[in-house]
Amino acid sequence: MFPMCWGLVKQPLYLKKDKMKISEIKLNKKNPRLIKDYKFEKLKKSISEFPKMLELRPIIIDNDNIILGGNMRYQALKDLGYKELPENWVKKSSELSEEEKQRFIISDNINFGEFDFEIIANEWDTELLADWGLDVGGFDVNSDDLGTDFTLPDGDKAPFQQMTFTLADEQAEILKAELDKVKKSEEFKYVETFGNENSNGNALYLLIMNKKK
Amino acid sequence: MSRVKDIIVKVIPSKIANEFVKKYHYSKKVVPNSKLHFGCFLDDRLHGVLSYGSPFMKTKVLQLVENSKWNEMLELNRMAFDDYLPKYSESRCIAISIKLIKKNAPHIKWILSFADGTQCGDGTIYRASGFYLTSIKQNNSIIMLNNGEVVASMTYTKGKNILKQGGRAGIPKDAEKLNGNMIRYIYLIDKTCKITVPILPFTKIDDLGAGMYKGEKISLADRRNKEN
Repeated sequence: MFPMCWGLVKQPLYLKKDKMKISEIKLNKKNPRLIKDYKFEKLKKSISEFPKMLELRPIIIDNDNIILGGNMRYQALKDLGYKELPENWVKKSSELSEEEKQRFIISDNINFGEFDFEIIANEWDTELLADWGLDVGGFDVNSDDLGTDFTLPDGDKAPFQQMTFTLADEQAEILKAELDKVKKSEEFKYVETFGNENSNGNALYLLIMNKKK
Repeated sequence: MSRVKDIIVKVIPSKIANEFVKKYHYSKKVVPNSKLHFGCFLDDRLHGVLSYGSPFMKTKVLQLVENSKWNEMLELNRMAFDDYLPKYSESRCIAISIKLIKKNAPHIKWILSFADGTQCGDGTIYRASGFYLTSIKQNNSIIMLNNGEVVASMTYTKGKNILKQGGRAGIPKDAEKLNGNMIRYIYLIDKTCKITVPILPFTKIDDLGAGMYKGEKISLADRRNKEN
């Protein structure tokens, strides 16, 4: 005999029949959305901290269980180790035509509005918002470790300059060999360096000066 | 109430500055010459970067201000902000950075900067920060490659790409030249310095059709009318 109050017995939150195996749901191969690693981690964190959000915004699937909206959330749930999903986290949309399905995939991901960061900055707790996964912009850099002091070179230019040339391999080989030869010469020991300590520069100078003689 | 006054400006390492510039500057490119970077913080997060360094062709640049010595000037060569900072933050951050330069490097007498009137703007922030307008030049040096990437043509006529082209300097054939202007501004930290080139009235921007704001061609007059 059934108890009289059968209809009033509160069911366990998720009976077996109220769940859907995650393996029954299929990712949409045509999904044009991507997610960066750090944002995927944010999504996982958001789902694990606030799963009720999935009741309010379920994953949308078609009759073949292919996802029309929520591919990222599905992947995040899989990554979090979910094997089954409460049925109210998934909504089957069986009335859509093929064209409507395609339109939904795109429309579901269009952000028509944008955040007013002036209000965000003034009226909301930005740390909390960042924790909830909102990209409040900028970089997380601890300014306490930074200062306002620095030094810059003073006075006139140092009396040295770097010159860059592009040479063909054959030209470079010849030049290197000539520089090496000059560096080994007795004359190189007495070359006028003008304070320059770069041996290639001094050898090149000696080569040119000898040419000029 | 605007919170511009809550912004804190500090010296930051180039690694952080460059990462920020790559993410938030419209060009997504850093300037290798930058050596002094300021970070602009609000609510404990970095929301803006100002990078200073030596200009390209410095010997020529030094002639813009009378008797300039090699180490007496800097170029403000990158400025990047995200959308978080309130209005007028950029001018405030420039002002603070100049104040810090004055304090830590009192030998710096002037600052040079360019507004990219081809892709970005005509320098509203510089004008608001007390910079002088000293040149508006048609800029033929910005090109768009066939993959949509926008680069300075110099990238192809100097440096590593020459090697790729077997030693020949040349712009890729299918690259498209972008029309626009390069607008030069100078700020005198030492007010006794003398700029050697004519100082132009800001109205010259409209006279030459060089007005641009956030990448859109628009005159200063039209912007003023919109605001009113």
